[in-house]
Amino acid sequence: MSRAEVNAWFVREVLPLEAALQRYLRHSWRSESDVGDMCQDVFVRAIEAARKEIPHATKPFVFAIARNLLINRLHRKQIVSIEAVADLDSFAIAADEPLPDRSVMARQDWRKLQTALARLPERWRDAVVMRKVEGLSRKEIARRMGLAEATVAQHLASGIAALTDYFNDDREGGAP
Amino acid sequence: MSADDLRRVRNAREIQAEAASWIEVRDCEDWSCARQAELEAWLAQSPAHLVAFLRAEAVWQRADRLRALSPPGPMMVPPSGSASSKPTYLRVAAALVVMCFAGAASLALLQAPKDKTYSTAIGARQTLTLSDGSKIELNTNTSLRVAYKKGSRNIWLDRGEAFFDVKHDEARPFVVTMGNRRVIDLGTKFNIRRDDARIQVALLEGKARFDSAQNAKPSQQTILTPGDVITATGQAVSLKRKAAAELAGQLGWRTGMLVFEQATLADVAREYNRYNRTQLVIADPAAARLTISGTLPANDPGAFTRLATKFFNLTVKPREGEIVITR
Repeated sequence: MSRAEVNAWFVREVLPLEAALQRYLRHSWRSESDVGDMCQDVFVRAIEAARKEIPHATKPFVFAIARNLLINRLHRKQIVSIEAVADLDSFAIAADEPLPDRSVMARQDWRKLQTALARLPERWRDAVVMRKVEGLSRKEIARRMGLAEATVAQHLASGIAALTDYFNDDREGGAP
Repeated sequence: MSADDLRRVRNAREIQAEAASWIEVRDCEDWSCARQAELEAWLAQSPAHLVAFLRAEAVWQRADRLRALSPPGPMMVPPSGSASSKPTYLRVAAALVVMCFAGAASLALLQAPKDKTYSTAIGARQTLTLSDGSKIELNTNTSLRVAYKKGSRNIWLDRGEAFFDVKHDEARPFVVTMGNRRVIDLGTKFNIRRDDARIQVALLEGKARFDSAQNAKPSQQTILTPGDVITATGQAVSLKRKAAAELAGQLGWRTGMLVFEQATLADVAREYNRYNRTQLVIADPAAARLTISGTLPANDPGAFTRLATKFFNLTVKPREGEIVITR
């Protein structure tokens, strides 16, 4: 399996599961601050496994990885109650849930992006809007904002990272 | 949380910040092969790097759609009250973008462009290399005008089909106009086909903006990303995404081939007739509905008529200036 194929599969089929995956992890794990890290772990394991063979059914595959990860962590923390791990079946994970059609997805994306953008701190948001909507260079943004180029680069990078998190977080308003 | 867990969380955050920095730097004009090699080395270092990068890149690419300023998709009815709840800074940004382009257009009018016209005959193809290194490939029976000036590059596709490989220059927008519709390059390769009132733009690489009206309002602008095929007929505009292979098939003409995927014989005849003076006529409605898939040379209708006789048992009768196909 070529790396490019695996990466394309990951972007197409795994990344869209993030919001559901977060919900599952949050439901089963008490400490909110671990969820981002655990998601990252699940993704890393998924991509590593797919390099050997891309699974037929991505969703059950990804959630099985998440479940194993939860169990391992519980063992490591010496928490006895394995029931803490939400039952995959009771969590109702449909393996063959059809993806919404493209125009519907584009519209959903657009709304999610707007929401995510609105949650960014002002300076990051301004920098992101100037780059993405107005297509300005780093230099031009720096001139308009009256900041050093290096500072603009930082604002943009922070904006990109935060936008990524907010986009993949489907909770209303989101957690801090 | 244990110290181990703390370290892991911090690492995930740090990796994400690094990935975001890479994406930011890559957007810059001075992005070089050397930097690309550095990025690839960083990605190869750990799957965690790769995951963080792909994840941020996916969202950042989608963020291109923010330029649309209204939910994408044709026939959208805006939910009531959405206009007033839309963040002000976006509306301001929209106004800025529109003003810039409107400004450029009126300037072009004042300067009364001295355009150069390029045309191809039926069955011919021609490649133009322009002074800035951009290339335009003209397909059969195509006519376009080029006006290059200090601050603008304007092309009018008056007829036919052309493939554009544009050297992007922010200070000198590259704009292709077809009647009241326009494509504005944002760093791209794209194909435009114009058959009378029907215009189809397929984007292969990079990004471009499609305006479905003369002075397009933000809701009439669409940002195209790779794989997007936009078709404008009369008042209707539709956007579809196609796989890279399928798109490449549509561009078979660049090597003189016609690529058909489940095409009816009527469609095949119509395609052939763009390239040849001898016109194919499918005289039987039932025969016209038969479908074929395959790749055929554009300048050899014989390849098609042989197929028609062999696979469909159709009768081929050459006449003055046309080839008639019946059952």
